[in-house]
This record gives sequence, C-alpha cells and structure tokens, in this order.
Amino acid sequence: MYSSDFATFMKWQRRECANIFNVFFQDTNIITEECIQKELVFLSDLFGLSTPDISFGSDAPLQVELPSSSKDSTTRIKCNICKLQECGFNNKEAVVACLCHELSHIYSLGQSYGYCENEHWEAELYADFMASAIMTMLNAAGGKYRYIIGNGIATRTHPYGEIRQRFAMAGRKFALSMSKGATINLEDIEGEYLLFLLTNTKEINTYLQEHKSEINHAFDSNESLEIDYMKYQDTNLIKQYLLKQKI
Amino acid sequence: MINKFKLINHPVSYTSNEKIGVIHAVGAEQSAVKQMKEALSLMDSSKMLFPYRINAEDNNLEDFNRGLYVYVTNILTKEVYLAKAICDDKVLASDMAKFIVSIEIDLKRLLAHNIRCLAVNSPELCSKLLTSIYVPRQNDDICIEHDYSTQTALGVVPASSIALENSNEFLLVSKLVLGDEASEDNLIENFISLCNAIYNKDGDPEKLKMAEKIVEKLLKNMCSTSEAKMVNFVRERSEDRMFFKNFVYECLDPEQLATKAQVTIYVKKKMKDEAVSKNQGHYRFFTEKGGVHKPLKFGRELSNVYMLMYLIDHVKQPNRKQPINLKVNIEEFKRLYYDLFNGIRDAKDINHIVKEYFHRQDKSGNFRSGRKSEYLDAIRKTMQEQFEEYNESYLPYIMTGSTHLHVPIDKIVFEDDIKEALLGYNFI
Repeated sequence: MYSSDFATFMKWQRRECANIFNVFFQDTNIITEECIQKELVFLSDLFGLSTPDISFGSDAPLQVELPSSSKDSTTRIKCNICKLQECGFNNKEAVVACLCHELSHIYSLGQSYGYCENEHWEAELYADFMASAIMTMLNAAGGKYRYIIGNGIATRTHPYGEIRQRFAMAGRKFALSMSKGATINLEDIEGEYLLFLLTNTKEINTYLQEHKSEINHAFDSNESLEIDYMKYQDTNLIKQYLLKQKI
Repeated sequence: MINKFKLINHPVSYTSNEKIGVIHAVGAEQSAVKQMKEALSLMDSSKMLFPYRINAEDNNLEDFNRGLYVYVTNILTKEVYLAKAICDDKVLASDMAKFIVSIEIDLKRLLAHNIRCLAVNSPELCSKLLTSIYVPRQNDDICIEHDYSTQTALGVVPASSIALENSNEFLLVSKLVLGDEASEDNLIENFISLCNAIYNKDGDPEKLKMAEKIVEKLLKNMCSTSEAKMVNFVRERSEDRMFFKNFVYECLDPEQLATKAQVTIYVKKKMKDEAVSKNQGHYRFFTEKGGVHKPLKFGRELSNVYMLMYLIDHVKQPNRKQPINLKVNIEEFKRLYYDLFNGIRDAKDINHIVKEYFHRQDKSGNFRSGRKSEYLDAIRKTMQEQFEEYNESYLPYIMTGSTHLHVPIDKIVFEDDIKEALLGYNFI
C-alpha cells in the first residue's frame, strides 16, 4: 500500500471519531472565505432557501442574523473564520456541518413544537439532528462536529453537550438506515426528529430542571471567595479599582 | 410519508369519550405498529393534550385511505374533531410523531384563539386571568414570542386587557395623542381610540410615531405568550366547571353574544355603473357599525348564495335554530342562484356546483368529501377579518354545519328595491 493511500485510509477511519486529538490535530485545512461562500450556496439549494448574505468578521464563530423588520427581509450569516478554527471547525467538512446547523435554524424559523420547556433548546436539538443527518447523507465526516457540540456547556440557549451529541447521533443513525444514494428529504428527517424528540422529552426536561437549579444555586450561594488581586498585573481594572477603594 | 393532514369538526354525538386519543393506523405493518406502541410508551403524556394510544386491531379498515385517524377534542370548548393524515407510502412511527405534533399545533392555535375571544369579549375577566397566561418577557426565560402589530391589537390581541394592566403608561400615551378626550375613567375606550388614531394616522405624525413605538413596546412585553403555559393554564382549570361554563356562556355562546351585537348587515343591489363581479353577482353585502360602512366580499360564489339564503331565512324565521337542509331546499337554492348570477354565470354551472357541494368524485372514481366546509370556511374567514376591525365578535353572524345565524333580525337590512323579491323565497 502506498503511503498516500494509507493516509487516505487512516483519514477515512477517523472521520467519525470524536476525540480531541482528531479534532484539533488531524485532517486540518485552511478555510477560505470563497470556500465558505461556495458551500453556503450549495447547502442553501439543498434546503430550498435563498442564499443568505454572509459577512466575515463577528464576535461569534458563526451566527445567524434574522430579518429585523418587514422591510428588510434578508437573512444574514456572520462568520469569523479564526474563531471557527479555534473551536475545532478546521476543515471543510466540519465547516459544512456548522453551516448546515445554521441553515437548519433558518429552515425551521418560527416553528416551535413546545414539548421541551425551553424553545431555544428545542431549536438547537433540531439543528443538530438535521445537520448530522444531512452530513451523513452527503457522505461527509461528522466526527469533529459531534465532538465540538458534545463538549458544549449548557446555557439558556444551548442544551448540555451530552444531549446534543445524542440527537446528532440519532440523526446519523437515521441517515444510515436510509438506502444508499437516496435523495435527501427534509420532511422525512423532520418526522424522525419529532419521533426522537417526543420519546426523549422527559429526559430533556429533567436536564433543563437540573440546569435551572444549577443557575439558582449559583445565585443563592452565600459563599464569598476572596480574590487575591495583588497577583494580577497593574493594568487589570479590578486590581486598579480595589486598590483605589483601599486608598 | 404524510402528504395530507386535516382537522375536521365532528358532531359530538357521534363520538364517545373513550374513543378520544385512540390512533387508528390504517395500512400500517405489524412492525410499524409495534414501533408506534414503543414510542407512545416513551412519550411524556403530561406534555400532550391527550393520552394517545394505538389501536392495532382494526388497522386494516378497507373503507379508509392508508394513513392515521384519531378523534380529539378542544379541551376548552369540548368540540370534537376528527384528525386524519393520508400517507402516500408506508405508515411509519415517524409519521405518527408528525401526526401528533400537527394535531397539537392546530388545537393549541384554536385554544389561543378562544382565549383571545375571551380577551375581546370580556376584558375585565381576562385581565384577572392574564397574569397566569401572559407573562412579561423580563421575568420569563422560556417563552414563545408573539409580536403583534398595532393593527392586530385592535381586534384579536387582549388589547383592552393590556390597557388595564399598564394603566399609567397608556393614560400618558392617550393624553399625548387624544388630548383632553383621554380620561382615567375609561381606559379601554381610550386604548381603542388610540389604536384607531395610530392605525388611521389621524393626528400629529410625530406624536403618533412616538405613541406607536410605545404601544408596540408595551404590546410586545405583554404578549410574549408561552403557548405551553396557556395550555397548562387551561388544563389546570379544566375541572373548574363554573369557569368554563362562564367562559363559554360569556365569550363563545353566539346567542349570548348576539344580545351585544352592534354590527348591521346590509344587502343591496349592485349599482348600475358598478363592474360585474363573477363572485358576488347582482347583490352586494355591506357591514356597518357607528356609521362606517364596509363591503363584505366572500371569496367563493356559493358562499354568497349560501349567506344570502341564511339571511333571508333568518329574517323570515328568527326562532329557527337548526341549519337549512340544502337537499330539501335544492330547487329554491337554485332559483336564488339564478337570481344572483343571472346573465353573469352559465345556468348549467349550478348543477355541477350543487353536486360538488355534497360530495366529489376524483378521476379514479373514489368519493371525496364535498365543498360545503370550504364555503363555510370562506364565510367564517371573511367575517372574522372584518369583525376584528370593528372589535366585535363574529360568532352570531355566521352559521356552522350544525347551527343557524343568531344575529338579531333588526341587524339585517335588505334594500327596499329587493326586499320583496328576497322575502319571496321559502326555505323549509
């Protein structure tokens, strides 16, 4: 076996492996603006959406800006390539998965099923399921994407990485059960997502309660920690403030 | 995969409570039924409107198309619906999930509509209940946003209840726009005048712009509704019979609402120089409240005939509560149709239209339900839109599959030229 073939085989082997080593050190590409634009056009067609405007330079790695008023009906996607790569979306396929996730949000805009008590969580799980199923059907690697979402912390808008990963895996499992070369039918994926959501509602809501109690606990706890501010640099604003107060 | 989903209003007497929530999966394979049962056992029934279960015994009913069927109820009004989803391929467990979600979305929408009826018709009662249904956004981290425009606020949104909740803010804004007319004593009237002024751009543009911004902000804060909370609210009180009795009596009972009806319906003959309308024929409908006349146009030509028939019959027999049986009155109905569309539509059309009214037949010879519901829907939709602008309930002004009109007969006016001819029709 030639070494290049062996490298390709190894790459194929680890395409679905979700671990930190593979994500950050293997199969990395340089991502360009043109590449993202090209993929966005392809994926928008797949979703049957008009291609959103994309601008580069934002605080978040990738974010969707929805139409703000009836006059301005353009959807915009803001992207920061450096931050994307820092997160681990450092090759073409991982970026495609990420774009797929954001486009799923646009595709399901205004749709809320109300089974999960937090609608934002429901929307994220939907996007993860969709992205993962579509990636599998496109025969693209999803390991990096699943690793990154699986390590996310729970917030008001994003569920625990553990649940997200489970939904992504379910999406992949469904796509694998489809016959090879089958056309991507978003309605089928949506139906399967609903089935998975309905059968897992109890668990998601338990996680949500856990998250809420964590937040409440964080606010309720009276333990005060003393900060050793002297160890910070002189430019640190907290240190400057505390020194000023002391004087 | 589901290719058609429909929620059909069903006569209550035909359905016992035991049948509610039983899903019939017609044409589903045994393995799919097993999957459905497993999925249903894992679902959280507390988050759903009904405890759904699957009926595997008669899933091969030959009279039905392949798909899913279930009887459900509106938990507030207790109306029964038949939900059906026709599948073009195999019936799968994922279809069932989609089916359940579609039913619940539609029923929740109906519930939300009922609650809005409550708000429009009984603002004081609604205001008391609002704290548990509508939640200010800043205190609610799990809410679905509904951004209602000022225009919508005129009719549908619990607009007047919002005025009561935010009395200080609204008084300030009302005084800004309406001047001395605004008084503390009648906040609801103030609010409606204010919305009218904003909508009709009647006043100083700068002040109106400022007022619109404030009103929209307050509406947004107030109307960030959690549908889940709304449904929970209704479910929690579903045992409170007095509440529902009052609710249905005050807000949804057409007879009760008819006593407060203020809109008059006029039927006039087309002006000589007016353009010919293929849908409206020779007569025109108008509504009037407070001196404002608005034309009433139904989208379907048979809706116009149907409405006219009911109006004539209601004037002649005001105490009649049962709907008109069209099969018995078919000749009289055809005569009315000829009168309305004489010279505009071909006389042959009516036979085909009447035939399709009861049932239709597709190319392969299968019978499908008729267009009656479409005509009734067209009437309901048009009435609803128009009456929202008047801030009035449309329920006494419409007929359903099982009820007649309830509007007082002095609110129906036929133009003198045509009155005699119209009252010459007799419907049994």
